[in-house]
Amino acid sequence: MADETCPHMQGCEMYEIFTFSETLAVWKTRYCQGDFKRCERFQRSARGQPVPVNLLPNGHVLEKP
Amino acid sequence: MQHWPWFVGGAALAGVCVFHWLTLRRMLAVSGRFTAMINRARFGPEKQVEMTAEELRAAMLAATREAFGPDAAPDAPPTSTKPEAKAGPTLTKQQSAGMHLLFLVALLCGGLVSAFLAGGPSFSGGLRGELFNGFFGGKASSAAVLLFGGVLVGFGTRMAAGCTSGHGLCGVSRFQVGSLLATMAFFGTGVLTSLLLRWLL
Repeated sequence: MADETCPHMQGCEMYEIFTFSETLAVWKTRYCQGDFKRCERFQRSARGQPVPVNLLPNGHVLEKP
Repeated sequence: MQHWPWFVGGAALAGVCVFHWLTLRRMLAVSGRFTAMINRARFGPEKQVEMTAEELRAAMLAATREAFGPDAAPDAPPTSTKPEAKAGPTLTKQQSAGMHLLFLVALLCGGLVSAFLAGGPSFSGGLRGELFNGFFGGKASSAAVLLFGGVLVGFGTRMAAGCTSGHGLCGVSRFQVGSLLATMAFFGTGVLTSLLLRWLL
């Protein structure tokens, strides 16, 4: 696991959401502050592709419950 | 031309960041808006998704359980109708290309207003300073060097996922380590380039 923080955290809408609740911190530790290169958002951003606001790091797309 | 005192400029920049957050609930990111416009032109408009704070919280808890197991998100989705239970982040409509364009035009207008308040703008084809123009062989080639520098700035901005507004103003003020490093790189390179040019010229 990479021991770095994601360079794309600034401006990432999902990161904002993860920081709001301790319950969601698991995303932050696994991806944003962990192995961020596995993050689907990071990968798309690094390829210069648009990142949907509701895309989760594991590639799951968040839909209205 | 009289420049504004540094503390007035700093306070104005901070005010713009806070105003941007209060009105749009988004961090100020100039290159981010520019990127959004380019992406829209290349890939078309994004699918609009809107969720209230409660809908987002419920969807996130479900997705967290799905990804990491039921123990990862033990809290039940709130059913309270109290205002504090509704507080939290939301997913809002993506801003239109017109809004991005308006912001960028306003950015230019802000610069012009500031220049007029400081005694009036002065336009030139290259960097002011005959030494600089002379070193690069005239105004045209000096302008080409500046253009090339602008392209490098754009390239670096994409690599760093942010520019001086996103990293320097918003990231540093939130103690983001990546933003601190990025800002150190921006300004460090600027100072080194400035010293190098002074030595060369």
